[in-house]
Amino acid sequence: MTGFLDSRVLPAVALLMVATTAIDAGAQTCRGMPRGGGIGFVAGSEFLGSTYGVALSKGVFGAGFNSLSGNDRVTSWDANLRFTLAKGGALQWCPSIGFEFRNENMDVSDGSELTTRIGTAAAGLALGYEREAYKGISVIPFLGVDYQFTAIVFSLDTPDGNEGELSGDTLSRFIIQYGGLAKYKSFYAGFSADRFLESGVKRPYRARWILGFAFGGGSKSSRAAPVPRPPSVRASDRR
Amino acid sequence: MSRSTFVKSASFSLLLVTSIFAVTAACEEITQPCDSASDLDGLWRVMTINGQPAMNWPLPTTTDRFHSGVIEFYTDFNDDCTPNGNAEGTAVAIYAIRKNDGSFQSDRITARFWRTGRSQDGNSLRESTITLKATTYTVSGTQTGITMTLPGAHPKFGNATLVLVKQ
Repeated sequence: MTGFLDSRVLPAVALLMVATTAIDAGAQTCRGMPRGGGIGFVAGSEFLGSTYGVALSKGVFGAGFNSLSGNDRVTSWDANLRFTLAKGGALQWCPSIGFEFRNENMDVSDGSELTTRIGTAAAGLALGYEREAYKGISVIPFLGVDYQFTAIVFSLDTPDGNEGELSGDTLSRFIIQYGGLAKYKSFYAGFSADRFLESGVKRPYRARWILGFAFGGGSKSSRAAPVPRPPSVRASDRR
Repeated sequence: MSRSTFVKSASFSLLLVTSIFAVTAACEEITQPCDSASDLDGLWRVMTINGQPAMNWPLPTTTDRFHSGVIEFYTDFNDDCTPNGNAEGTAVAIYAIRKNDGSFQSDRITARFWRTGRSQDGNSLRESTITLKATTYTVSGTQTGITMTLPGAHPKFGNATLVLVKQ
């Protein structure tokens, strides 16, 4: 039992320690959130309808929740969690892993309701760049590529109680995520889109707007330059 | 943060959102997902089974036989914004089997589907390949307009070529 607990707890503790020590890395510029994190309202569209939700990031963690509207036959919600580490300065490159769960309910014409549960694990690499463009306004373009593995499970609620033959499925594919943020003081706004990296695909499958409040005020690039210390207090002059 | 700073920041954010919206609206190919309905979406009814009219088969002598059915398609991704473009989504088949004792058994199959094949202009009638992937088997057929042919190989109703027509 102890060994079992160790095998599950130790990796989690290690992950938490890495995350805690890496919080200053401010990894989220690579994934469309301000450096240091923030919370935002998300509105967007995908093939099935309009989505609305919230996105939250702090340190190396990012999370979100979205619901679907504007579709007569399908209701849906999704939740996601991402763990991102950053390397570099103004230009960051960020390896990341994430997980998304999506639940869809669809009305079938015979009175049944089909529930589709979709779990997606993703791992990838992203680039983000933050630069002050004009008087405290910083722009943050970002671009990332993820490999996604998706598992789909169906369940059917039928009038006669007979479920029939319900299949699951798995998919694996590459996606590209791109977009940009503009940030001024504690406010930020931006755009993010996800697109399958396959030949023939002409449009993103999901596009979202975000308007939010950044944690920690202005970014490093938008802060005033530090005032130089007098020579008498420079550490290098102390002998 | 003072009140004037807050108002200034909020006003700027609003202006920023409007500007970004205008820019992205002008660049639809990278900012707008497709939202046009696929011509697959809806109910497709089995009209013939191995060339014989559906629902008109004699009583089976040995094994249960496919009697009638519909397949309901629901596209959740259409990559080129045309009704007959490549698409993928969920399919639910609802079918009836006639058993040896003359009774009927209704059942359902859920599957993911993919449609591929593209005409050059994207709008003219074309023949597409439909692939339905269920738990234990994959079946590929063709679709031209409102007619679909699925050469089936299923443990419950044997080798039966189904011709479906969109309702």
